[in-house]
Amino acid sequence: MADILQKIATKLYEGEDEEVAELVQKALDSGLTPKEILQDGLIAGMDQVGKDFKAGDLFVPEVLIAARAMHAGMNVLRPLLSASDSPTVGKYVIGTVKGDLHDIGKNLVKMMLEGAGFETVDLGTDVAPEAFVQAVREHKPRIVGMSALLTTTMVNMKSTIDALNEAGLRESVKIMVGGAPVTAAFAQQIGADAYAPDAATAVDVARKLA
Amino acid sequence: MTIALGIDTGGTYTDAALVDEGTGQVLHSAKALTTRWDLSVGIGKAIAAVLSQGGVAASRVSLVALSTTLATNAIVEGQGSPVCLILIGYDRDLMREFGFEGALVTPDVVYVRGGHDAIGDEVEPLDEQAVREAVASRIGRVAAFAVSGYFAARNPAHELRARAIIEETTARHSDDGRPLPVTCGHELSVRLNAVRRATTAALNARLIPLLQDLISTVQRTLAEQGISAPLMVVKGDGSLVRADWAMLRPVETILSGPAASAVGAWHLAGRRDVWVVDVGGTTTDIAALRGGHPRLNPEGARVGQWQTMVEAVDVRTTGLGGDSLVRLDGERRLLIGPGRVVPLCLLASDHPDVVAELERQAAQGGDEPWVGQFALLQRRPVNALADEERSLLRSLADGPRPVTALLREGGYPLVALRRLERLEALGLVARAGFTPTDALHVLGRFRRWDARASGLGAGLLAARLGCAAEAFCERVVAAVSEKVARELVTKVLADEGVAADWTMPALDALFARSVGNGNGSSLNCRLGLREPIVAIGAPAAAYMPAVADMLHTDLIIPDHADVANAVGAVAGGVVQTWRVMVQPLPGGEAFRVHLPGEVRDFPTVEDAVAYAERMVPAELAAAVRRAGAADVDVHIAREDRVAMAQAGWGHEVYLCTELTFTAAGRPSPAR
Repeated sequence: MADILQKIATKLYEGEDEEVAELVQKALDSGLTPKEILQDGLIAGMDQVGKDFKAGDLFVPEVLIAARAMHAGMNVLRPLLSASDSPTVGKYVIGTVKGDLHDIGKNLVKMMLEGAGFETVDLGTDVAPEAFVQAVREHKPRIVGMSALLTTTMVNMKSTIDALNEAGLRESVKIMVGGAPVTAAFAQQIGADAYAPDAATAVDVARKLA
Repeated sequence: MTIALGIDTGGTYTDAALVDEGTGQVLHSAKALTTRWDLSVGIGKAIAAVLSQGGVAASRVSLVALSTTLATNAIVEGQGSPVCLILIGYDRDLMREFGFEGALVTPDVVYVRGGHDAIGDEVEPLDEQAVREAVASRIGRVAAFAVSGYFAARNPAHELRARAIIEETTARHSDDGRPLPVTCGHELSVRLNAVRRATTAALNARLIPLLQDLISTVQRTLAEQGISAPLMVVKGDGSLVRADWAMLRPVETILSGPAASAVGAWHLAGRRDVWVVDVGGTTTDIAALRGGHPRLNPEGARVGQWQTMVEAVDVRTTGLGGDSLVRLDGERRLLIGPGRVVPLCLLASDHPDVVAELERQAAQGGDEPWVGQFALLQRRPVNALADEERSLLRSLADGPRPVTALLREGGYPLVALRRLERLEALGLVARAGFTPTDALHVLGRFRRWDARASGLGAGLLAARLGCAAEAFCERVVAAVSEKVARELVTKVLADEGVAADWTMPALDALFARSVGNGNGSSLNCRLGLREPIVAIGAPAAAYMPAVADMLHTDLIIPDHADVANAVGAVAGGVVQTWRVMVQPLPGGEAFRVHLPGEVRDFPTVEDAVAYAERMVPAELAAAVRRAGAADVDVHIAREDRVAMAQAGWGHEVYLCTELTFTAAGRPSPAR
């Protein structure tokens, strides 16, 4: 039994999306519960991806491929996971701030968060402060994550926090920021709750905040 | 020699103090009981007493300053006039979904289109027609208007335009051509949070008529006493404003009492960094004084259920004072406060009959919680009451009566008790009972009123515990001191960002051991404060030496500690602060300065800052003179908020520049 879960984790790590989907189905047929498969197969594999990415053994393209495999497995499991099975740690609204079209880093964080059991709402790129406010209003997330890849758009992270403050919603969410030029000092200056230097750390930080 | 008259209306007493403006010396002081239903009655008595006591001619008083609990009490008790709140550019659905509509103070709220964004650009033009219609339909129905615009802290244009429309419309419809008062959110705070600015603006509007009444009756009282000096009011940060200015910004006078007491402590003790503990009749207030100024609450003062954006003294208030009700609960544990009652000794000195009743109760014995308590009439009702409530009031017409008797006559005792409590909440009836003040009378440490009544009251409670009256009174006094010590430690921790949870057994045990209640524990704990304690308030000397011992901390009880609030009222300066922000516009090609009345763009940060530094000081100095200052100094503090980007990404990121303009002067003797 444990073999097949180990195999799912390994194939996920290798980015074999079709094989992962097949293995998940097989595991279900063999009587394993969706929760077991998610926790000890898919998430276990994604955790290893995160660790090796952090250590520099994996690079962005490999992580993206692994995440695609994760999705393939989730597509099989999702209809079977009841609300109580789903290990949702919390809702997470994520987006790249206004004026910034970079999305690779943001997507990576999103996939890693999903791998860790977060339910994510992706607002995409070039997201205006007011759009973040509306998303918080609509989805009532635990955490809002903002990405910026340009020093010229970093200031829009502050504008977004300003907009959440003005709307009276700042205290209802935790705010995380990240992106290549962003620093912990910057996060503190603009009044964010946390900063993460990379996608794997982002998951650790989000778990602490949730 | 010019003389300043300071007045403080506290929960129990109204104090008056005459201070020599040249030397700062307290010349005379007096107290009168606070008359909650009309504060000017107690104020008049206190002023008359202090003038006659000192033999000071009224004409020599050159300044009068008042610190008052009126605004705080009115907010807590939900009093005030009907007001209409106009919200510009607010998202009504969001307000509803997040329960923010409950923070709007008034049920009469109008949403109109308009508002700005984070950089102060207009999102939508102001719907002037909607404002006009809203105002027209409320003529004769509201006493004041409040206006709050979305991001008005970054661009007040819509609030200012709405105000102009309201003033024009209401002036046209009024008999004397004068407009109704209008409060704009951006005048009270330029910090972000549209909900809290709306709360603050609405509270302010609702208080305006109340404060106008108080100030005009106080001015009449002053005139009757022959005082023609200008009247100033203490704000919640301890500074002063002229009465006519305070009438427009009444919400800024919340917590003026605790602020005045902190300033008074500094004035009397001559120490700039201390913990100020003000032990009053009703409450004990603790505040930090740093560099001679009360430390303010950056989050804004919370009063009753409302989180305001008023920067007032960060005070910790506990319902514990000389007149707190002392009682035993079902398990015969000693409880003190938070309710305030008339001490038995005071009651008996006005109504000697109660001594006989207490003797009767002592002879009879009894285990009911309200043994030894009385109810007495305070004032006539102004509103309609239920029949049972009226008959209860009638039964008190000839003087105070024991609570046990009232409950026996009122049908079911618990129903009768609720009825009594409702009349107390309305201020129609007061409860009398055993208090720490009575304990001091029994122990002979305080002698002003009838100690026999105190002794009998102590005997009733002590009998239930099976101890002697004196031993019981020692326990009460020690319990008050320990509670104050605990509150002081809680306050210090809170200021350091730690919430003290005394329900944690280990924390509670450590505290008990450190204040000497360790019952032979092997742990040797000591708590101490780095800064000395300055204790003020009438009963400070009775409780605070023990507090200082428990906390191994220096204690200063200055002369005139009993009227420190009134002294503090005249010791403050006139101060106004304006905050101006410069921020980059998208693209980083231009920089916008947000001034109190306008926004303007410049090619560089320095150009924007230079413009603010050129324009603001003169305007602010004029404003602070209108608020009653002379010899005005303007001070500018600049903070550039810049953060470094990650190494390899080159430059630093410029976020904004915050300019804080502070104008301060001494109170002007000119009217």
